Amino acid sequence: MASYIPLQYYVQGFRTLEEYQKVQAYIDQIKGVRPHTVLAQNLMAMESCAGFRDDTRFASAFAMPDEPEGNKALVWKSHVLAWAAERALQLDGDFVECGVFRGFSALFICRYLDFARIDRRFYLYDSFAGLSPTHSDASERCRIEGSYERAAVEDGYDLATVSARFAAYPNVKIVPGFVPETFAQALPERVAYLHIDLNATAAEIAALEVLFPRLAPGGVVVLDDYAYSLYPDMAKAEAEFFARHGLPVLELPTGQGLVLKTAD
Amino acid sequence: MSDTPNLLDERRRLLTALLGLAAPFQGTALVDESLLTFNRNNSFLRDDDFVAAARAATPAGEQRPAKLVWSQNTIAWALRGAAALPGRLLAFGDQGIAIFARHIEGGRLASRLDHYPSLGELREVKLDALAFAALAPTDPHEVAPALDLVLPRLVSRGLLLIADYGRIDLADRRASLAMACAAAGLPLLELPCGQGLAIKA
Repeated sequence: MASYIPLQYYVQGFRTLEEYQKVQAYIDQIKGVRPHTVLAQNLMAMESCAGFRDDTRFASAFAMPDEPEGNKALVWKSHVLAWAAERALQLDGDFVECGVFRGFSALFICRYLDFARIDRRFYLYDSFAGLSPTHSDASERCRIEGSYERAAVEDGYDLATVSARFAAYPNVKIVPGFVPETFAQALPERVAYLHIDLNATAAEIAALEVLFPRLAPGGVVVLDDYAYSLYPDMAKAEAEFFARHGLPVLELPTGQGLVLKTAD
Repeated sequence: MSDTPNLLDERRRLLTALLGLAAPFQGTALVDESLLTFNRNNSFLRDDDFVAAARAATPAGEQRPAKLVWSQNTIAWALRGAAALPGRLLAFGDQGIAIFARHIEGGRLASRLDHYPSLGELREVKLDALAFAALAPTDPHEVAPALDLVLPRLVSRGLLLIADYGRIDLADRRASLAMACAAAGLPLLELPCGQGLAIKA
């Protein structure tokens, strides 16, 4: 029997109900031939075991109570973040996430690493008010128009609610305000883990200008939307930024971008 | 051994469904037999060096050069990253790595690459420090003994790629490889295209 899933979280961009039903039917056909198919956000892996799901530490960190159903589609992105965070423990520096929203990714990492027991700080930067008016363009603001306001009402996207989610982690420091201006409030000397998800090209480049020099050699940057086709200008600007440092960006099937800082 | 009519029919059904699924996402979908992605930039398909390498690595008569394109993208990125590191580049098994080394970075990586088709040959050499190692033997169970030889030679920030790390029919092997790498302080990333990626701190 076909197992129906909330498809819009996994394959984005339907225009009509008919398209939605067609996509669901095709997925059922594929699962009929390849029963082990794994679906994640905008990807379908047909021969991979996605073995990280069987790792009890991963599974227990990922299974957060009160999370929207759609976050289950972030399973492979979360595996990439868990890997980056695990590596970061071997490097010198603190953890940084720019663009926290409700805190799903950062909280997952805190749970995965049992961050309260780790002698590092995790800096979380977010405006809790949507995109920066000075470091985003009209098309970026138009794309998400109203979504942050809706999220504030429906999903608890506000400083108090998000702070409460991290109450068990005294070494997490939430820094409210727009990037990059908010860096004046608090900034780590050295960074070991860097995850950027600001949904605005100018803000992400401004964040990289400040944070990348602080990243420990051997560290990686995870760019949440680098490979997402809604953000071609962002990918171009970030590829140019890293090319100036002589570094290639890996476009991942998950939609993320990955950069390894090879030089000091 | 030729495919049975049942297998061919299964593949035909799969391909029909995949192409149907990808159709509304023209230009942003990539489809092969093991991975389908939607809404992606696929910027590597506009990288002339990458495209030339991918074409050269496609066996004659192959109708779908995009078959392994995500895996090839990882290989090209890892080779480019290793270009800045000290040490040799090692390919065990797959000839495709050597083709990529000849096409990217102006071909300057080719002289740093050593290719070992078999485990016997890999065991016979005294390995130098390694900036890059790609393990893609014909027999997937030869990865573990190759790892024993390669891991101690990987330089700081050196990159390791394991072909078919996440393949569903090799799930037991995946667990043992993950443990071996973790013991050496190298967490393994399972990519949706099936590769395993590790980077030494």
